Amino acid sequence: MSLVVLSEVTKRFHPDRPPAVDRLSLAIARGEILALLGPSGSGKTTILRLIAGFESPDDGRIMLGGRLVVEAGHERMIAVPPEQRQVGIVFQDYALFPHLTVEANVAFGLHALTRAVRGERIREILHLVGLADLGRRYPHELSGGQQQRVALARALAPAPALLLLDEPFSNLDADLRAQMRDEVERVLRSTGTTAIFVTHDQEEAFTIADRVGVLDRGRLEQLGAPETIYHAPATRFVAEFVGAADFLPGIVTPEGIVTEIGTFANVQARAPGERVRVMLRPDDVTFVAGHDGEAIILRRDFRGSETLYCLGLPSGDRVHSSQPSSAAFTVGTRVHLEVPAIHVVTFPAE
Amino acid sequence: MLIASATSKPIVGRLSPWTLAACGIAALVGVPLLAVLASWREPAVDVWAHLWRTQLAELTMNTLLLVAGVGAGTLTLGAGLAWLVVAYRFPGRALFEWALILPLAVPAYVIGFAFLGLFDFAGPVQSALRQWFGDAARLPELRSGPGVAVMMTLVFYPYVYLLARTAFREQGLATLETARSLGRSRPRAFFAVVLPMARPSLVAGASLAMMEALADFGTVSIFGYRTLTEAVYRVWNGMFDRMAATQLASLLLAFALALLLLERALRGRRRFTQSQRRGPGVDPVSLRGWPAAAATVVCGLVLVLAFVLPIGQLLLWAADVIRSWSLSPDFVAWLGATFLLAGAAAVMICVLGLTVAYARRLHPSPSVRFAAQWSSMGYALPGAVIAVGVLAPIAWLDGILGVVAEWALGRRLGLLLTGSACAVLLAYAVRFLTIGFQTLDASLGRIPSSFDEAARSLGVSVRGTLRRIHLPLMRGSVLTAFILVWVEVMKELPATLLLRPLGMKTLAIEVWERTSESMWADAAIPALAIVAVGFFPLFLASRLTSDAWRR
Repeated sequence: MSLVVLSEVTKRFHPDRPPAVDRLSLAIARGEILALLGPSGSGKTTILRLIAGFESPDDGRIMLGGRLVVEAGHERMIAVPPEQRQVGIVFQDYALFPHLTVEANVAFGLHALTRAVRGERIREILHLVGLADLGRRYPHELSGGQQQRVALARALAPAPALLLLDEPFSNLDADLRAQMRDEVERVLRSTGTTAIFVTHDQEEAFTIADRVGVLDRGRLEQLGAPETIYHAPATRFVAEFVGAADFLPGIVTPEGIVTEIGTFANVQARAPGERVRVMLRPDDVTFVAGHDGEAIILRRDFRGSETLYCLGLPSGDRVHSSQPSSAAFTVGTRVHLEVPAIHVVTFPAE
Repeated sequence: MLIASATSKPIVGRLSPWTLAACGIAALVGVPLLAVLASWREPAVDVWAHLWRTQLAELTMNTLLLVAGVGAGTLTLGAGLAWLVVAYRFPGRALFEWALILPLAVPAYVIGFAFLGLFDFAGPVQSALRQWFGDAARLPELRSGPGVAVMMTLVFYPYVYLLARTAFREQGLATLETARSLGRSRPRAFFAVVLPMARPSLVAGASLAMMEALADFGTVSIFGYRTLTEAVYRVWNGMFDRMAATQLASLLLAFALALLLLERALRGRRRFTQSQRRGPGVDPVSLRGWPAAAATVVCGLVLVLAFVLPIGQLLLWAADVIRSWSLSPDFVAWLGATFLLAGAAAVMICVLGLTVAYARRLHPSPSVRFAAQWSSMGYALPGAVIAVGVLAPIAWLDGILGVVAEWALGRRLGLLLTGSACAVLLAYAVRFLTIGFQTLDASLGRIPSSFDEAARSLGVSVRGTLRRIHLPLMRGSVLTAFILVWVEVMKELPATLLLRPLGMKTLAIEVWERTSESMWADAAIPALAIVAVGFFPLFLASRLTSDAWRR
């Protein structure tokens, strides 16, 4: 059974502007980790706040653990206040209480327990996040990564049914971010916590989450496994937002989809004669140098382990190809394109 | 029936208790205002006729002249001194920079009576003059319009000085350098750019000074200068005509509101022009020779006149009193009564202010925002207006209570509310709520809303969040608000005088009673006690501003 169910949830902040969340439905299984991915303003944080109870929907309803927590559209809105929802939250700024020690921060949500049980629980949870010795410190005496761990420990201490994480790694520098990502995933998996986290970083979403929901202007564009999202995007928005992609014009024929650089299998069974755009990821495109090559290298961006080449086609269209940096080609080199048609995704041409 | 859990309570769709409380507090503040306006239902025709024939024109003219004089005086003195200490370096500048705000710690009526004692016909200065130059030698009469205006300018200029100093500094070097690169000399750049850019602050400071002058009761009554505020008290206490006093108060109210509107209009739309401060501050120019000496003398003269002389005179008188063992044995009782009354008012105002500020944090609906704004309005109302506005409804309530008590208990109880501290506390609440609210609201605003949400998500209620998160984090500000209100209440004169419980005497009232009998020396020790307490907020303020400056 699903732990969290959102049905047709709509939230408007201004009557004349488009809704922040637009008739969104979503179900999350127990123990699942879901990432909500989208550009800023796509409504992802609003969804978290609706689930947590800090905002009330204008329409739709939300169930947590089989219990209806909010339902709009009644004469009297019915809503369970946030403190009764058993939803833990890790905030972007951590929101650690500066006047309380690490232990007292973690103990904050444990007011229902007896003193002995509480002490035991604090020790256990601090050990889990690797802060067993720092319980007496104050938040300002901790590093960013340690503060992040305290925030996680505090949210997990009351053993919430659901954990919400709002851009949890955005305040950390790149090194620490990767480390904390693994750490947080380990903790969530080991406690079997159901979690929803919001991010605009696809790499973060892909590494941690079981499923990723891509949002655009308050609508859920696609919900699926990371691989599906990347290789089989449902909409052009998802294709463009998740990873880089070129869209090459093509026409559907009985033999397949004919484009400037070759023919692709018509896996989506589009009608012959239809004009489409074929999505090409840079990692799907390779090339070999040749004097009579149809394409020419226009630009080369060295990125460390790989190099991204921008290739110009005779029609003037461009495709990108990422190659290992072990081989280097200079700008102006003529090349033959090779596109192994593993994932052929097409969108109708506008 | 839709909800599975029995503990679930609907939170939306009914009015929050915080919203109700905030609106209730706003209504409380509105009561005196409405009472003053309602007095016009039965105009006291004969009193007005009498006033019209005798004094009304004089009262109005006197009040207008005083307010205008104080406005012009504080603007010139405050802005001039501020520019001097911001833009120039001269001997004693570091001292003057903070010492020039000292007069703010002293109530106007205290400086006023010390001045009278010093410069009066029988005072030491004029006596010495007569001794040296013969009987014809005399100073201009202090007990006159210009005398009172000069006096109040000396007391109230720090309002302009403080705000102007901040504004001048915030403009920074870039403003001045731009003007000079366009061919203006430093003095001309001051008038062309610096002064106009500081206009919102200057207007705000001068308005505060003018409101104080309008509301002042102690000084004008000691100086025998008849203004509207003073007349409200005289009609009330001398003629025992409360209706007429209330109607006079409404005239005063009109003046106060006009001043408020004038301030809004003059401040214009430029309120935020100086909000983004970048780059270094104005680099002070070192003065040498005569200009340096002149700057030091000007600052020193103001400080001596506005602070050193009066306080020195008070200390001399106090020393006399102590030497002759003539300190009133009731002094400790007055001190206790003052502290108790001010403490009670400060606690009450902090609670009310926090309620309004917290309601606005929780539910920033239009009605709550209006309530917050409305309850900050009392600062513009002169204490005398609030006093008469509070008394009418309280007396009415007392009447009802009396009837109920007589019916229930079978005997008369006397004036329950009017005779107790209720009335004066209500007046303080109306007058000073804004201090408590602004201080606590600002402090609450510095706490990120994610703290509230974190606490709520960890299973703690709204009230629990206030108790366990906000109040501990706001400790310092709650103390600041308490002290600020406490000091203001200690200094407050007209409302205390009109509404105090029968037989209760505070330091301020003792000062006023002694000085209205020209017993200057007897008033010195209570006055010094008030001054001593008045240094608290000054200390707080200077700490806050210096923190802001030492980035």
